Amino acid sequence: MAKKRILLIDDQKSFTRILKMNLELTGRYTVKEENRGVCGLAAAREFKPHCILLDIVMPDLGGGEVAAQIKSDPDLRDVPIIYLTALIKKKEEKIIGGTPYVAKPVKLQTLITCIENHMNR
Amino acid sequence: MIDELEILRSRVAKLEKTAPEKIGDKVSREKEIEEELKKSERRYRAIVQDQAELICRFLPDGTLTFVNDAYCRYFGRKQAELISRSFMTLIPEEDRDMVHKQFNSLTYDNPVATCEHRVILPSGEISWMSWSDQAIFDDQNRLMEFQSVGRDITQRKRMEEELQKAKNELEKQVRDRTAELSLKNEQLLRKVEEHRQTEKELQEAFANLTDAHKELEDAQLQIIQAARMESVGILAAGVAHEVKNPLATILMGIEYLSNAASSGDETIKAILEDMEQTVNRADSIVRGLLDFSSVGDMTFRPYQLNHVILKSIDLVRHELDRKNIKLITGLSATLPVVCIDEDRICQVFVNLFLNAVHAVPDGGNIMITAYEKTVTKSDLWKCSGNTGKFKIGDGVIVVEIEDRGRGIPEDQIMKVFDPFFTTRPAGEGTGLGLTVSRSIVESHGGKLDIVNRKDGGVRSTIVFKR
Repeated sequence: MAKKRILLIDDQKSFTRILKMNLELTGRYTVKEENRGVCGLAAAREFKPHCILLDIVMPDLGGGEVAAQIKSDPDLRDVPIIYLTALIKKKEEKIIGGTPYVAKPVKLQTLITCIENHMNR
Repeated sequence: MIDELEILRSRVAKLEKTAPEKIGDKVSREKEIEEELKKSERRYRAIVQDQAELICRFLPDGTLTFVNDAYCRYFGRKQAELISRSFMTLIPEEDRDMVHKQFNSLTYDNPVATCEHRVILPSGEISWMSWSDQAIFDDQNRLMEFQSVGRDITQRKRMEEELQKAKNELEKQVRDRTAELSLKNEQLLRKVEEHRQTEKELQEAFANLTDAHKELEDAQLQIIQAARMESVGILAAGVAHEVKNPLATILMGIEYLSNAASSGDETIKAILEDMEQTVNRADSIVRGLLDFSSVGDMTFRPYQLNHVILKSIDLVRHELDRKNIKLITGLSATLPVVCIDEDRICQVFVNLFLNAVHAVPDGGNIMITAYEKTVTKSDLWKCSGNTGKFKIGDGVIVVEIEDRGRGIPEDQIMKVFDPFFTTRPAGEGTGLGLTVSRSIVESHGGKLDIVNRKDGGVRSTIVFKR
């Protein structure tokens, strides 16, 4: 089975690095990291991910705006985006305005379940 | 004087009977006696005439038979003009009846009396006389004459009139002054009444001001609290972001190491589990802080409180069953609807239920009651801490959760709402549950109290305004 491509856009480099390792350790995913919001759209166009994990608070460009850019691209608009954020307080996955939110810190298995659910929609 | 003349005449008669002397001697003697009589009469007449007082004699019909010189001078008439005439013409008509009555009142047994009346002077002027009247009777007690001795009392009468006038004037002044004082008194009483009314109104206004001041103080406290919460909220959100991101990295690292580590190395496995628990606990504390700081961000809708209580019970059902705890409910079926944020109030009930579950031993009981009541004075006394939320007479809904556990040590009960205070063992509970719960209840305008029950265990009381 072909590995799914996951794009991580988050300014926390240590987080994206370890998460990439964890996801790739499962053998099911190929992961690309991007630590600058402004490069998120270009990375997505280049990587053509099956799913994007997107931080909300980033210093150069917020996750909301990055998501808007991606959704406006005809080639990328159907790619599921999951917000991964420290701003919400609940552990559980939450869907706000149709977009799933996952609160940091999150268990790897919880995150994988969320990714699989949204890729299969 | 008249009496003396009578005595002299009696003596002459006696001499005539007892002295049978010679005619010549008799004649001579008679002359002597007559001379003596004349002398005596002149002497007594002079006495009478020289009197300053007015003297007169008159018949019962008022006809004068004698007047002295003083009498004649007083009335400006000669004796001949007065004798054989009635003295009544000298008295004003309005006094004559009174004078008649005065003389008619004199009797043999009571022959003397005094009287005062007016007389008419030759000039036509009216003056006042005071008379001492005496009735004169003969041997058969028949009334013969009256004798009166009088003196002018005009001066005295005028003084009396002046006095009476002054007295009348004084009395009038007293009456006027009394009336004036009565008026002043009435005005004063009205003023006093007005003052009392004003005082009463002032007292009411003061009470209203006190209430308004209290409300303002409460509002100010709420504003300060809201501002504080806003600051805490901003701070907590910042802290949450800065702490949760590293926690996320650490958790991911722990998971990677857990997967990558040799499955046989139990020590590393245990260390990684401890690290994961620590991360989870740090995450719980940060979430508690976010809860506490976001209390103001609520949505109020009308709910049946019983519905929220039952929903909360469902959320802790697993814990109740796990410890085989029996939940005894006494929820009034007629509770009115209250405006609340359902999720938040659920959070409060779940928190209190879990505290109770934690406190009671396996197989124990937890009681929950909900009822409506009117606040009384004793309710206010029972409240600990700030009682300013409710006043006597307010309608409230009360929810009580009671356990029969070990209670809270008395030296710690005042600290139960302090942030990070917990009676649970280290690592179990963040110590923010009651802090957040109280904050949520107070944001609903209610009150959360926790006390030790007299016969053991803890009673948590939530009071909502109706």
